[in-house]
Amino acid sequence: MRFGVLMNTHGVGARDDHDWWHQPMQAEEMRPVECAQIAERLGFDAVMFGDHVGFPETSPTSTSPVHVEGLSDPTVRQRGVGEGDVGGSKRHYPPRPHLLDGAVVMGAIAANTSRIKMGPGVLISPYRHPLSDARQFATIDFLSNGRLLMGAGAGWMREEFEVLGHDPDERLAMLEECVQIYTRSWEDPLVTFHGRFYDFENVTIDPKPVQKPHPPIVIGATTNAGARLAVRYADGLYPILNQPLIDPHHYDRQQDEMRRECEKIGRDPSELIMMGIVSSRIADADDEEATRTPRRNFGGTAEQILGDVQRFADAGYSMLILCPDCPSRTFEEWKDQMERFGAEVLPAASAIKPAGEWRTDF
Amino acid sequence: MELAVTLNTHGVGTRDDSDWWHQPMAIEEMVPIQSAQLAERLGFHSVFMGDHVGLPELSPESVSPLHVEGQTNPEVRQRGTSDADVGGSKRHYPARPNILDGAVVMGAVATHTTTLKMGPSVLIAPYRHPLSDARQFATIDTLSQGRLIMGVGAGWMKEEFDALDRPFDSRLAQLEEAVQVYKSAWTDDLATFHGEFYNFDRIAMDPKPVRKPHPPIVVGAVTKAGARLAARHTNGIDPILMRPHDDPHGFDNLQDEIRREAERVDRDLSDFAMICHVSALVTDVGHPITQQDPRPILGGTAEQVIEDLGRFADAGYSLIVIAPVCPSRTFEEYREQLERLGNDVIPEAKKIKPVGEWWTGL
Repeated sequence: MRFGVLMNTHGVGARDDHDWWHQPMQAEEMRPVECAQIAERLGFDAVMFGDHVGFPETSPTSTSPVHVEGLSDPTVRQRGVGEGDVGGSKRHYPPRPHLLDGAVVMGAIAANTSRIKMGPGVLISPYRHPLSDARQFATIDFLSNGRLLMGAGAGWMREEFEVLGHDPDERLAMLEECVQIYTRSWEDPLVTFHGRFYDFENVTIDPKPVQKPHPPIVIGATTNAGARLAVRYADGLYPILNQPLIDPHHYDRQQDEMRRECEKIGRDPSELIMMGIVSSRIADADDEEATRTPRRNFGGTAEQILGDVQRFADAGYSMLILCPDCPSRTFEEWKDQMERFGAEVLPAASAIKPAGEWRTDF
Repeated sequence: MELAVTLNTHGVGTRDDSDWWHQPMAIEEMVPIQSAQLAERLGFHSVFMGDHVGLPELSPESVSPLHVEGQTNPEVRQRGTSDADVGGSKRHYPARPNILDGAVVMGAVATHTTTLKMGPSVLIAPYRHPLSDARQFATIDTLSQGRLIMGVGAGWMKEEFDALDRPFDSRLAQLEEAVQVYKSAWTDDLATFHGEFYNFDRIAMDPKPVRKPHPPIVVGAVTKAGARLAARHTNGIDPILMRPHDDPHGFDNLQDEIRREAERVDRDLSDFAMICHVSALVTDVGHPITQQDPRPILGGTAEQVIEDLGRFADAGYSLIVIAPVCPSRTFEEYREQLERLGNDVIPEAKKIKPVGEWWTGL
C-alpha cells in the first residue's frame, strides 16, 4: 500500500465519530512547498489538492461528499460552507476559508521536489473549460517531469455551480465530456470534440505531457454512474472514505460496477487504479484515539493503523490519500502527524499488497 | 525607467522591417525558472508571460494585435496561427506552438525568485471565469509575497473564442466586467457583482492578495475604448509597440484619452502607470543593424538602445517590457540578449526619468 496526503491548501481537517471537515487555517500557516518537501522526504508518494473557485457565503442546498447516510451526523446534513457555530462547527468548510489555488501551488511544488507525484484531488471539472485545465495540467506534468496524477470529479456544491453560471444537475455529463477532452488534448496532434457542452475542432495543445500516453486520470466518484465513467474514459476510481467509521468495503458495489463495465466495453481491469481518500490520526497506545470503541479508521497506534491498511488493501485499494486530523489547526501538528506516520507506518505498509486485479504500477 | 522581459513560455520572437512574430521553440529550450532567475539577477524589474488556452489550427478571421493597416506587410494580414510556410513564416504564432501555462509557471517562478515581479501579459480575461482567475492570481501574489502585476486584455483570436464558446464581439465588455470582478474578489469581504456576463452575490475569496489595496492591474490595449476602460477601473495601460519602426509617440492619443476619461469620471491618475511592450536586439558595434537607416527601434548597440529608451521615457513610459529578438530560437541566444540588456543597458536605463505625471510604482 502506498500513501499520499491531502495538502492543507484548503486548511487542515478535523474529525469526530461521525464526520470529517475542514477547519479554518490562515494562509501563512499552510506553507505548501515545505509540506510537499516533508511528504517527499518521509516517503509519501503523492500530494493532492482540493479545488474550489469561490465559495458562496452559505450553501443550504448542498451535501458534502463525506456524508454517509446512517454514519454521519444527521443534524449537520446540510454541509457546505457556513458559520462555524452552525451544526456544531461541522460544516464541510468554515466561512471565508483560506484557499490556495491548486494548479498554481503545484507549479511551485513541481519546481521544488523531485520524486513525489502531485495532482488535484479532485479538480471540479465543470468549473473551468476543459481545454484551459488540459493546458494548465500539461504544464504541471512538464514542470514536474511527468509526476502529474490527475484527479477529476463532478463536484457537489450546487451554489458554486450557480455562481459560475453552470447547471449543477448536468455536472456528471459535463465531467464525462471533460475527461475525454483532457485525454484528447494530451494525445491528439489536433484536438476535436463535439459534445453537448463543449464543441471545437482542430485545436492545438502543445507540448504534450511527459507521461505517455497521458497522465493517469482518476475519477473522484462514489456512484455507479461515476464508476462506469471511470472505466469508459479514465484510468481509475478515487472515492472519498473520510467518514471515520466507514467500512473499507463501502464501495465494493462500485468496484463490481467497474468490472461489469470493463466486460461490457472490453477493457482489462488491470489498467484501472483503485485509490481512496481517508482521515487519520496516529497516537500513543494510551491515547483515546487508540482506546475508544468503535475505533476510527487509521486512528490509534501504528500497529492498529497497519491493521486498517490491511483492511483497505483487502478491499482493493493500492493508494490512500491521508487527511491527518489536526484539531489545533497548526502546521506543527500536521508535521508531527506526518512524521509519525512516515516513520511508524509507511515502512511496514509498503509490504502490504492490495487484493484484486486493479492496476498498481502508477 | 525600469525594464521587464517576456519569458519564453510561448516561444521566442523575431522581426523583420515591418513585423514581429513568435517562432516555434523546442520545449527543451524553454527554461522559464532559469530565465526568471537570470532576469532577477540581471536587474530586470519583472517578467511577463503570454496567455493562450488552445490555439486553433488556422485563424483566417483573426488579425494580430501588432497589425497596423498601411504599415505591416499586407500579404500576411491574416496573422493568427498556421503552417509556417503560409504568409512567409510570419503568422503571429507558428503551427502547433509549444505554450506553457503562465499561471502555473508563475507558481514555480514565485518560489525561485525573491524580488522579481511577475504577471500575465496579458491574460485574456474572457477565456475563463474571472473568479477562477482572481483565485489563481491571488495565489500567485501570496506565493510571491506581493509581486504580482496583473496584465489583462480583451483578446484578438476569434477562433480561440469560438473554441471556448465565448462571444468575440463583446470581448471588451467582458474585460470591463472581469477587472471589476478581480477587484471585488481581492478587496471585498464578500464579492458581489451584477453584470451582463457575470452575476453573483456574496462570494468568499480568501486569502486576499498580499499587496494592498490589490495587485496593480494594467490593461493591454491599443484602442481609445480600451484606454477609457483602463482609466475607469485599473492602474495602467500596456500598448504594443513591438514593430521595429513603431514610434514611441504612436499611442499619445491613448494617453490623451486616459486623461479625458479620468477627468470625466473624476478619477485620480496618481496610481496609473504607463508601460509598453517592445522588441529589442542588442548587438556589438559592427552589426549591420547599427548602421541601418532607419534603424529599427531598440536595435543596435547598448548605447543606441539606451538612446531609444530615452525616447520611450519622453513619451511617458516608465516600464518597458522587452521581447528579445532571437532568430535562432535558442535559450542561448535569449540568455545572451538578457545579459547584454542587464549588463550594458539596465544600469543606464534606471537613470532615465520618464516624462509626465504617470505612476512609476508598479
